[in-house]
Amino acid sequence: MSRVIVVTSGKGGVGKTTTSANLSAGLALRGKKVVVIDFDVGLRNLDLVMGCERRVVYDFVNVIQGEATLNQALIRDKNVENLHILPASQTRDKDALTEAGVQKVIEDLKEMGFDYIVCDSPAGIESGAVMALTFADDAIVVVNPEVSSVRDSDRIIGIIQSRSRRAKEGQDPVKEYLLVTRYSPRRVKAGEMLSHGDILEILKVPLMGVIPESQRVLESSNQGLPAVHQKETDVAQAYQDAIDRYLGNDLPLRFVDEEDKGFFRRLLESVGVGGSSKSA
Amino acid sequence: MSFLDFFTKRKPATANLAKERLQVIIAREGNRSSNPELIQQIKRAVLEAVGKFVQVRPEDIAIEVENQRDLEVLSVSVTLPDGRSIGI
Repeated sequence: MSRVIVVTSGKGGVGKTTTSANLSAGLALRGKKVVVIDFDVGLRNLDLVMGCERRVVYDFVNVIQGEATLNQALIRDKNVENLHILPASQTRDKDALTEAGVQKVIEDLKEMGFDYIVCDSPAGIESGAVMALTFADDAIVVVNPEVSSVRDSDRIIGIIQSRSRRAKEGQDPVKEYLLVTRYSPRRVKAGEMLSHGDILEILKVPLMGVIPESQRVLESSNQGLPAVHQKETDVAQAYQDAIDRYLGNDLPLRFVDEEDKGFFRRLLESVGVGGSSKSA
Repeated sequence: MSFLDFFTKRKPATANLAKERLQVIIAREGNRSSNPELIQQIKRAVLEAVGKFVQVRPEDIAIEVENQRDLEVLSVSVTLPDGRSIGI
């Protein structure tokens, strides 16, 4: 049985594409057969983050419009077996995705035997975002510890609960998971940043994981290699833990508490000597 | 954090303020209710109706939708401004 997972957030820039890339690579590393679809029509970027931008020939819209077959459009990932990418189109026509077209592609992918179909949603609540969540079984709501992101997450959860196919047809509701990204334990401890507990209390959606703010995320997008491949980093381990929790394993949270730093280390950091990011 | 900040007192924590503001606005927006637009419409109607008798500001009207198992509970509360009384 395939599961369709939407990675969504409402707000832009919170880490949807980073999460889609790491989630799909992480699931594939566990031997699952995974396809990740970029729903951000007009602003294709998942291909860059996954390092396959030069191999795009056909895209999602070409498949929907019958100009290419799925097999022609799917790009096989270089780093993990069983991972495929379906890139977004660069067309400016926002109505290029039709509900019937998206449904057909998802059904065909299910028939091809994919275990997980990951839908990387565009920001906003327009048709592209709604299309990405329409056929979802599970939703990963990516949220930053910041007021506008939390409010937009609440908004998108409301949309999942009313506009998804599962909601409209009265089936079991879409299973929601919260993923807090760009988390800074130091700022939480200082009372400057909402804690994961605060966010959970406000949004009331089960927590899938907390990904620490890290320079590694930028570095991995620079290279086009999702952070999960750098196994020794805190980001990779936090994503792996989150995937484990999604798969039903109960794991304690890591990287959410600040290590106690000595006086001199804090003093040095206050004048910009020595990084504040820690690598595990 | 600047060099001087290190030696000066820490500024008051703002995370709690963020949490309180979010709790209020999220309850009032009712994004997860079946018809979020309805809340705005009810708010306008209440403002208009109450306004006929006593002047209230939009922020004094709290409309919240809460899901309790199978039912949605709509609660409307109007805080009267200081010094005003409708004399009940």
